[in-house]
Amino acid sequence: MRILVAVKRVIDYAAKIRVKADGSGVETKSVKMSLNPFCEIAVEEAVRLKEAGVASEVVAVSIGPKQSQDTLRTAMAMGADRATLIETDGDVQPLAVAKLLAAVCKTEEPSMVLLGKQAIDGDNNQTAQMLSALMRWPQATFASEVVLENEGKTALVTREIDGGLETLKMSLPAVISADLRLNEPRYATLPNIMKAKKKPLAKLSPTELGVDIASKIKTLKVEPPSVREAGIKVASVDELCEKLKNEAKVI
Amino acid sequence: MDPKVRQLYKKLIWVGRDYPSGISALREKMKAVFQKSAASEESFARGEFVYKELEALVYLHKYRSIRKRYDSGEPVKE
Repeated sequence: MRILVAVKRVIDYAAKIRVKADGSGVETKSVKMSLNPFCEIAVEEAVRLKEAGVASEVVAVSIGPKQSQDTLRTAMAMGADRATLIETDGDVQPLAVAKLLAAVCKTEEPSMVLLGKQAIDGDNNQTAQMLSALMRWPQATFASEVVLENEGKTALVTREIDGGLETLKMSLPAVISADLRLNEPRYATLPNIMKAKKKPLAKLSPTELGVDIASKIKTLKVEPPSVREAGIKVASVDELCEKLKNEAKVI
Repeated sequence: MDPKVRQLYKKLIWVGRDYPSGISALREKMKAVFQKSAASEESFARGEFVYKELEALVYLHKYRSIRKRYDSGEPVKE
């Protein structure tokens, strides 16, 4: 059984986000980039299924610039067997990503596609759903537990929904997107990163897969949130009351 | 230099890159401790301990930040 894991290179969760001066997007030059935390959880789940003897191979796929290789190396250091990079320039919309992943699914024929529920940069939360529709496979989003049954023919997926848990049963192949509490991802240690450099990494281009990745959406403007104004100190209770009455008009 | 010392330092620097407040302050501290300590079994054991603590701290900080941003709710219990 083969598991395909899609990973994305995003701005590190701890990095400070700066908007470009021309408002065309977010500054990514000289900003720390890393593997999307939700994708990390998806990789971990796939590796655990492999370690449990259910899966035989874990393939990591990333769509992005050349530097996404590092992200794939991290995924391989965590335990993925091989990786495929689909090289693109600039922003790729979720629909294009889903189409590219669908093309990869057709050649790799995985029994399960694991993705993070969303990337922490675009926060779109669309790719898994779109991929499942394109492949006409069942989908389970926001998974908090994945159990395989019937010798890997069906999957029981628990998802966190408002006010409770929902358990879905589905036949494989299926598309599953990982929520935060699915597992605790392991750390990609230095020796494992070194070992991952020996693992095979294939490169593809969108034209080779026959997918048009031209964006259908135009970003008009990106703005940072307004800065909170500084407060003031008052000398006495009377002054505070006066300001609350006359300036803030709350009492 | 004992190769184990170099290996330990490399390991710590590697995990230190993901240290929440940045690696520079951590590197200075680590350098001082490395210069002060003798390459003994005890030092290696402590180094390993610090490494594990750092790994746990990096994970916990990431988990907490993501949780704060994406789900403020309590984990659902069965």
